[in-house]
Amino acid sequence: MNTDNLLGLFIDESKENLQFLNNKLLELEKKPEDFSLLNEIFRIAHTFKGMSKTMGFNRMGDLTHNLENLLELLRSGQITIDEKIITCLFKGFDKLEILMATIIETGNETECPGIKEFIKELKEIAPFNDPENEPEIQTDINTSLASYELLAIEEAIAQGYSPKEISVYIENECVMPGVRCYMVNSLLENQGEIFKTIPTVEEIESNKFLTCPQTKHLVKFFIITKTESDIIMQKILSVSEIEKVEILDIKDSKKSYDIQEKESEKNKQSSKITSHTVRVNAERLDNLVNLVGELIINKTRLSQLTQEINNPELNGVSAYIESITGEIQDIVMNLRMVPIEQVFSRFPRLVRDISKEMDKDVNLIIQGQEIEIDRSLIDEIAEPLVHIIRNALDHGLETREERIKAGKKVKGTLQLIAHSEYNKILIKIIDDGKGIDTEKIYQKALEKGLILPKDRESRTESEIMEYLFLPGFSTAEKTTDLSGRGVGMDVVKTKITALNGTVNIKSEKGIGTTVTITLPSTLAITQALLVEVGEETYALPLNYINEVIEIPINQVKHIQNKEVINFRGCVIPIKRLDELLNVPECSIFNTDKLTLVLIQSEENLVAVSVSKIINQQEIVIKTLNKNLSSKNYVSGVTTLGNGQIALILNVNTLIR
Amino acid sequence: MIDKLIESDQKEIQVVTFKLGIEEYATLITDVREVIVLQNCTRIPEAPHYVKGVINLRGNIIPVIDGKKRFNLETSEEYDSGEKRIMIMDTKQGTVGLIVDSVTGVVKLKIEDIEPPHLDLGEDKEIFWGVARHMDKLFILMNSQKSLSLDYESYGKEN
Repeated sequence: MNTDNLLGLFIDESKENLQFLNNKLLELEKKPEDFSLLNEIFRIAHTFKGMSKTMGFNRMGDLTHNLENLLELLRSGQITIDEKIITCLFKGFDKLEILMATIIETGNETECPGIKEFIKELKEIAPFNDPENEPEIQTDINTSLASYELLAIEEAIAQGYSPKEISVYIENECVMPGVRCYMVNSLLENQGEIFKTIPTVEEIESNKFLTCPQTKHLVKFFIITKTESDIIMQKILSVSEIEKVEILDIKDSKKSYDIQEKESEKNKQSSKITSHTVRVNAERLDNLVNLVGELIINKTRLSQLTQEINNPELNGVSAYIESITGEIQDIVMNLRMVPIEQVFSRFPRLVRDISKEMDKDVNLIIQGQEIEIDRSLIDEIAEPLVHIIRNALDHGLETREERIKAGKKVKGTLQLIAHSEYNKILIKIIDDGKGIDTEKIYQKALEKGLILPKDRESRTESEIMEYLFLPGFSTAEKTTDLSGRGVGMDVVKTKITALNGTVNIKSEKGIGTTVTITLPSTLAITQALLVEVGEETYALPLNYINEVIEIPINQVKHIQNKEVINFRGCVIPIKRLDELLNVPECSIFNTDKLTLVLIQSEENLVAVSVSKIINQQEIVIKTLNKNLSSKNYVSGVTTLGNGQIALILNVNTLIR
Repeated sequence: MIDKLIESDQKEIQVVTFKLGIEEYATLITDVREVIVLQNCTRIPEAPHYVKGVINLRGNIIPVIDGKKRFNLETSEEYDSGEKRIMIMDTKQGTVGLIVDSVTGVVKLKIEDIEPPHLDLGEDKEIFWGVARHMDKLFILMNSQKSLSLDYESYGKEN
């Protein structure tokens, strides 16, 4: 089999699986008694092993196999989960990640230092037989039947048959147990229907048997028959080299057998769930997006022509094409977006490791994982975020003693919040640590000759904070291997700036630090309210909108010559969009009712008057040359389904 | 660019010619990507006065400049003879559309026939390269990079 084509697929899936393993293990650490988590980890590890071996990555396969052994021992309860084991598993996953990295880079597995030692270590914890010779069915002695088999049994009982479980013990000295089995099998076939054997016929042929304390060769037959047990017993014993036969009448299938599905069937089920996704090259998606753009223009042209010709049949077709095109547009635009969770999901593990290392208690809160972000940004932002999180944990959060002294909760909090704002995505990393000491930065800047003492007064806090982003600027008194604050910040800044984003640090001494990363998302999709002002259409980002109200014009009051309304006990200023935007020929004044959109941005609540609300819909944001809108009222544009353009208003500048 | 052309051995340049009012203009054919029929522009609040708005060209949002306003020509009330076009131009700042009254054709101009802009062509001479003679016609040769700039600062003095 040519595995080259599969490599990409393998890498993607393995990355996903590793991530999954890490996450589940984190959960398990919190809830060690949750058996289903353990099962899940085992299952993924098993898949992972299978995939690695298929691809010929034996180091990876072996390592996973050993991890699997450890998991198996945990599952069977032979050893209990403790911190040492969890750490060991994490370590194992890390090693797998290292191996993955070399595969991604070179397409081949290379020797990775420490793996052999690690496997040895694993074997000490999990004293298992040599992996290759160990028959997988060995532990299967507790019979389990698949549900369809149980069903068959029930049916048979109902029809007056008596299903039996026959255990045939073959003598240890038997040279050809397979042949004996075959003989028993053909005897039984004359008596009834054998619906299952453990091990399977194929396994018997390759000399794999169940083992038990009495004998190395044990075979179980499940048969539906009307023949009495005694007769069957005699028949079987007539075959030589059979040591013992046990016959069990299956009366109540549910009681005597675990309904537990077999491992392989579980796998089948889960693969059914995951097979809902298809991996596609991002470039193809780009092409698709462009093509859909053209499709929409032509669809518009078609509907225009249709109106001119006005043929009922043509109208129908055109309308149908229109709606389909709209749907295609929606779908295609959504394709490129992925939830930011893909980046965020790796942080719980990171935070756990660092906080363990630093011996700090940290509560990580993640919000807004569902925010969608362009695929291409996902990989780019991970590294800067890691830097910032490390900094926050290392230098931001205090040690337990310091926190107690400062009267804070012993457990520090680290928040990771994403939300989208018009054509930007904001990611905030907030810690409640000691904050950044601007005085320290100033001293450091002074030391480096970046600032003169006389300038101290004229610089604002945030200007001083900017020094943090200079290369090699670190205020950390002692450098740990997690690096001092400043070393990473310069990297962060460079990276984010390259993505056309900004980084901003706000900090209050003793209270905490907030790092805000703002990223543009040229292809971001957001929910917006489409409104009409005069004859023009504008889009207002929905996440700023509190509500839409309609009030009679006589409720508008004047304060200092400015229009306000008194709404639910709040005095809210009114901004007339037509005036702000110089919309020509607008008739908002002429009506006796005002349609107001209540917009909230940060602390400001403003009512914006519009002519008409059109609808709420998902829009695809495209950037606009910033020179075009001098006052920054417009943050972007979007094309509507009919090819028409709507401007997206920049709420922040609009209501200022 | 035109200087370079003059320095090089090239004897001729190929231009697209178009009309704004009664004046005839020309621009390098290499700057013109395509010509489309006039379509409705979406107005942008607070945009420079010569920017008519933006159009949606196959999914790309393209700012459109009103040629007459840009070159300070009389904009006697809009009547559209049906010949109005938007020339889609490539500039360093991206793709920009230019509304013209009509596109008249493609001609080859001899370098020697191009007069540098010593004539009084208004305040900003930079937006023109000069005037070219062709047969019995005169074309104002437009510097599309300069004249189609959306940079408000550089053109702010006009407002």
